[in-house]
Amino acid sequence: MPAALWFALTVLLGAPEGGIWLPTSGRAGERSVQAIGAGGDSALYAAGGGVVYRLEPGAEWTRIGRYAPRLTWERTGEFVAHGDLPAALLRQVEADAERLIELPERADGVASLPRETMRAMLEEFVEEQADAPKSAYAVGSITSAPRGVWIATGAGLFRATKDGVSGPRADVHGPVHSVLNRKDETLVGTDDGLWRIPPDAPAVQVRGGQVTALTESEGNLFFLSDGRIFGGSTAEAAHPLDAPAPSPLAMAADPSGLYLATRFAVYRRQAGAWSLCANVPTTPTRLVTSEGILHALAADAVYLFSENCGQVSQATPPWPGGFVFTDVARLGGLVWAGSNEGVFIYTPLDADTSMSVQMEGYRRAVAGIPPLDVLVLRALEVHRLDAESTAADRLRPYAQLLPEVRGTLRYEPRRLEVFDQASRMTEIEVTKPKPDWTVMATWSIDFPCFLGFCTVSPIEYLEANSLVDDELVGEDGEIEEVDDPMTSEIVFDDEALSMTDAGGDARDDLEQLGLSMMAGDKKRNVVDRGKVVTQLRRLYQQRQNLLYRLWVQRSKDLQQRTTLLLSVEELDARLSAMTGLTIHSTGNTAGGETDK
Amino acid sequence: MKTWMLAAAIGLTLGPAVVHAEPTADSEAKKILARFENEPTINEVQQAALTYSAMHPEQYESMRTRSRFAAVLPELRLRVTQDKGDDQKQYQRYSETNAAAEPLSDTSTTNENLELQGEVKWRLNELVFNKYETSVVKEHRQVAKERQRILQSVTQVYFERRRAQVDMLLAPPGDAAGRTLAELKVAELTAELDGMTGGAFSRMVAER
Repeated sequence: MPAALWFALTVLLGAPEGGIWLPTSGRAGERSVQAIGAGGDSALYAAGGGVVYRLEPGAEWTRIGRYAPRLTWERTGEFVAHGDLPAALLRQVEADAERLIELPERADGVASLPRETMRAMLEEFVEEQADAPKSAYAVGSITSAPRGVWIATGAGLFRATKDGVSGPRADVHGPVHSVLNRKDETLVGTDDGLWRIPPDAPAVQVRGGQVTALTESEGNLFFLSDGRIFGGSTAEAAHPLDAPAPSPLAMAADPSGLYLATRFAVYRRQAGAWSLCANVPTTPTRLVTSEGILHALAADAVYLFSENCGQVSQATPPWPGGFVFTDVARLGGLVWAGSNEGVFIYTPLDADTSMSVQMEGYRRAVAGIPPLDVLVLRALEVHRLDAESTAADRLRPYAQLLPEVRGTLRYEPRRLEVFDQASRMTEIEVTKPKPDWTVMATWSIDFPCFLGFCTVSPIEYLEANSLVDDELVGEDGEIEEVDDPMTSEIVFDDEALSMTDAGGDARDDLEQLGLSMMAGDKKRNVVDRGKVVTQLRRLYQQRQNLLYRLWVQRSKDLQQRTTLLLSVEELDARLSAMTGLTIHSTGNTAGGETDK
Repeated sequence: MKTWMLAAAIGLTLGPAVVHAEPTADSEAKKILARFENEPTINEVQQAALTYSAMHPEQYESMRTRSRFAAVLPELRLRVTQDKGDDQKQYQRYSETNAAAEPLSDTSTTNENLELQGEVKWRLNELVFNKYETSVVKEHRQVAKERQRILQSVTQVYFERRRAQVDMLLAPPGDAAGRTLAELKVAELTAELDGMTGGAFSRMVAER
């Protein structure tokens, strides 16, 4: 975002009402992020898919490092985790990938899996792992720290500044959920307990139990531990507090009070008493207080509160489809939201902005599946109409260079008896010859083959294709007319093929037939390939038109929108069937940067 | 203190804040479609149809490789021939004066020949190209085409049924006859899906 626009928005916006989420530019603007947060250096940080991004005022998002490894898949069938991270962490991610990614079984081995399929599987793995709290890819929160931020992840506590990412800290154990900066100490809530990090000293554990949220209000510390709220002046002195409702989910505080989110409500605690702040239609998973404003985050909305819970407005996703909010932050008077579609900024609603946001959403939705050329290549492979399949005999000239090797062993013992009646004597002759070995290598080289005149011999072709049952079946399931009548419904039995040894007219006829069939096959391949490409292009264009109607025209008619959503789903299913790829429009457009 | 009292008074008067959120067509559409989440997904139905029709082109994928690898093994030919024979020879001498024959020799001959022959033949050129590869590719292509036809059919019927279900929810027919016809259409499409999946569709619906 240009600097001028940043500052103009800062001036124009107070507590935004009636706004729209505007995508931010740069890498984190389009990639799934799990958490965002303002840093102590006045920059905004975001983390997701193993990558940490940073946004300075007036600049674009830039990638500054990784908190989880980059995962790749080798043709040998192994997953490899890369990154400047502890070896144990890399091995753990590799083991998780090995255990959780189910490779499709193929008779010719996993090495033949298409690159797009593996990439989609790796991205899906990273996205799923981001929701597993103990995974290295999960991010609990991003908290401001001097010159940067703390990043709480499933693999530990990381530190990010404009110079890069470091960690995880070896002295803090367990997946980290929350971090709180207090005077002269930093507190860290993990699965294993509450930890204190004094300045320039190793962390020490203060309490046990799972600590999922930490906050401070009027000098008192509050935290959620094992589903209960604790409060006190220090971590050691904290004691359980009464909660307004069971199962508190999130907590935040500012000078106006302590806030608590339950399944469908937000409460405020003032002077030791809880009061209902607002009922919300969907479950808030995170509360953020900043610049005197409370923000509650649910998967499908951000709730923006006015001061003292006087009013609350709902900011819904900018686009239809599977948009999911993941975090919210406030910096420079602006509200920022992280999502599975990237980081967004809340701006006043006007027609131009609205149209540009919708067009951006449309662009991303179109780009959410592989481009047409990749789909065409995959579809041709699935239909065995790709170059490799249709040129199965391309190695034939080189095959001639290898001989036919024949080895023969002959052994012929003999015995001869001659009985003479007169002398009554018998003569016996026994011959025991040594075995006779013969080894012979024969090369039969057809030199024109090397000049490109080597096609399958018609007779040989008939032998290999003795049963021909070709029918051209159209996409609509109807049997189409065969262009060459010689190529259809011909069955060769053994008797007919035995004539190949014969000479004369019969052999000539068979050769002619074989040639016709070969020509017919090649022609049919060309026709079929054209049909696949045409059908795929038609489906792809239909999908683009439907997405335009969904994302940009945005009919308010419920039946029409439902039908449009169904139609997109159907087109995705048909494209998936044709290409063998998993295509799903309403899913996420981008996961982690796994194999780049 | 006055400020605190004023705030408390406003709080008491207004009560908790209320979220003003109009349901959008998108969220409503998603809710409508979410009603069918207890039914099998299109992917599951496609897989069931392929399983039922035993249409697995993957089995051809290794056939070309195997056809070449087969050339490593030789063609073996063994031949055993046994030849037995008996023969008797008598030599006699006759003179011009004496009519009686004079025997010279009388022998019986027995011969027994055995021939063992073995032949192994490698067509090494088939390690690079086997003439049956073209046939395998062609068969594979036919199966892939048939598989595609099944997938397109099942996808079409699946979404036709889903549209009919959505129509019944969003624009239900006003009269009993219309409702019956609409229900019949869904039943017919369900039966068609069952036919394509060997009854797996209804089984999956019942299991959820």
